[in-house]
Amino acid sequence: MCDEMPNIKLESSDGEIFDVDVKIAKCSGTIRTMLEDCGMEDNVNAIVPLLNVNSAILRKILVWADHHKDDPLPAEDDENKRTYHISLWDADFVKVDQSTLFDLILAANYLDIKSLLHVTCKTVANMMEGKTPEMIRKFFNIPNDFTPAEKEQLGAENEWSEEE
Amino acid sequence: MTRLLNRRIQHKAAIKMFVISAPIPELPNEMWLKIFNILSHGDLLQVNLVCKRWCQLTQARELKRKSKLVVTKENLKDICDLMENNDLKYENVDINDKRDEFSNVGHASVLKIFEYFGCDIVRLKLYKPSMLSLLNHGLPKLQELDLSCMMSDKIVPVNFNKFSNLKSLLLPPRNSESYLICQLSEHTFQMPKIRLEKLSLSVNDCPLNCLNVLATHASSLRWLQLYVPKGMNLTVQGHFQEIFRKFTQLEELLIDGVGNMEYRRLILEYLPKENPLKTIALSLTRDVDLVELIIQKWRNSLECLKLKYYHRAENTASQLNFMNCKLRSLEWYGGPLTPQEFLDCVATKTNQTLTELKLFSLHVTGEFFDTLFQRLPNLAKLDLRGVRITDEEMVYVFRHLTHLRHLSLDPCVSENGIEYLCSELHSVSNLKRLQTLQICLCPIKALQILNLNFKFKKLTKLVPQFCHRSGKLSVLTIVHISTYFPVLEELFVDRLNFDYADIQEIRKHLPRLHKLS
Repeated sequence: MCDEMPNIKLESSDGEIFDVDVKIAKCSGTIRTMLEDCGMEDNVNAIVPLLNVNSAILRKILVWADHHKDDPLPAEDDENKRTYHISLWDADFVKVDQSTLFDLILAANYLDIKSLLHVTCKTVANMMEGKTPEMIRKFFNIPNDFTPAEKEQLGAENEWSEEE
Repeated sequence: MTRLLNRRIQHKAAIKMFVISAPIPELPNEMWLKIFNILSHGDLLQVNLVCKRWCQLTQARELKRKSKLVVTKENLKDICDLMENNDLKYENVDINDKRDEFSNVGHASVLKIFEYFGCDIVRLKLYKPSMLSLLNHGLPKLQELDLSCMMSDKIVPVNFNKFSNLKSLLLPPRNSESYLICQLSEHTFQMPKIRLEKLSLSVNDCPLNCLNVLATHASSLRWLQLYVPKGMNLTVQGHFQEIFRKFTQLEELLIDGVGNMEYRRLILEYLPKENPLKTIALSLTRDVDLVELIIQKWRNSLECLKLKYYHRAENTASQLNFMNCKLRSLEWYGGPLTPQEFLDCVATKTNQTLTELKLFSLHVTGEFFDTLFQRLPNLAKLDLRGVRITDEEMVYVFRHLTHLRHLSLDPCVSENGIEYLCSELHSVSNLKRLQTLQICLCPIKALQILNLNFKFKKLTKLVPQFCHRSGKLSVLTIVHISTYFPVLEELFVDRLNFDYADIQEIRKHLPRLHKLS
């Protein structure tokens, strides 16, 4: 392996080309698999098309990947551990408007970046914490499509169910 | 003027509508499920009520796993009604007729519930032996059966053998009517196809049966709780040794219900040290040296130790040093140690590993208190019931132990005025991560005096107490402090009776409350 990592080119859905350090690009499981399986690693001129990520989101994601490029890969069973700590840098990174946050979730999922997916999902979960149904609806702009009768029925079911 | 106001409001509404029409990106169900999976049970119940799509999503098996259906006399009919038109699915069911026994009609309804989703049930808890007949209706997926709270009564023979997936069986502890246990354990013994991983068993008047059960499952058990009454004279010592030699996978051993000193020793001596023991619960009288034996044998795997000392032995414990283990959790009742000796045991220097500590009647106060907790910076759970608490100790906890998720303290015995607690620097609001809290009203009153706009966003269980300074609790006090506890689900108040109107009033202020006593 040579000392200096080569760059590769990523193409966002709106056609912008990003010149990226391979090490950074490999934070994404999807890109890692593409490079390794398709033997693109040695091909300096290869362009990886990312059909589901626009340039604004990709730019943000590359900032994330750059910051986390030296993190160890999470072990497989880490995913289920919920007491994952969100670092200050990460918390700051996800301070964006709701639609950007959702886009980040979608992109993290598509690109298979587990740590980012976890942090973004946890951020949304934190937003819901402690809220009443009405507050949640207002927050995410969700119309209430229950009839009063359905609502009552559900309320009853909630009362029988307890935490394990 | 009114008209003007109206127009303004209309204008505002128009703007709002415009904002709404901007596209909000949708998340696919799979992503919402991932998010819901992070939520607590209480939050999940709110999600359920947001909209139809989310309601359906929360029915997902992976989420339902977190909740159990508690069938009581009150809700039995409602469940049956709902079952008719809706797809109810629960893996985890509690048939709770502990206080109110079901009528014959009730029994029929429970049977109906079982016919309806018995094939989904993985975990089941029963309270009355009459309900055992339910077990004879197909429960193909049953893995865990909890009869630990079962009270004696007439027994219905159960053939456990047909639950081929059964992994965990909790039988009632020390029951005066040993008939129940005899019957049950006889059936437990007849399970050639089943290998239990978790078992709670009381060795009673029919020790041979019980020992046979143990012998059958010795090689597969990972979790064992054993009760042997003090006066029990097992004439089968050799058998006992043989059985414990056979264990290979045991991770948790709860023998604080073994009253007989010799048997405790037998178990701990004959249990091979190859067992990866993580948790041990033990009662001690004159055999305090057993703790040393435990540390010697399982130093590398031991994470959780629960010790109850019933005898004041001298100096034996001073050689203990838990710093060499990876001890995560320690429960300590009574015991022969002085605070200084305890400090030497648990935290000669900073101990980062210990996250849970329960101390009962060890009088750590003043300087010892500060030193001890200074050296335990990662505590998440602290239970000091039975330890005298003054403002100084409370202030120390609030100021420094900000990782705490669970805190239980006795009512304080402070002589100061409440102003002593009224500083933001050491307010209880520093403990933002609290999930359960048992404490006197003083620090909560201090929050009110400070007029802090603060909410415990994760606190689901509260046990407020009164001390001589805080005065008695009333419904009004609860209403007043409710603003700090928006997600409270369980509230336990001593010496206060609620009538219907009180309950309604309290629920209005604590919308998620489902347990009040």
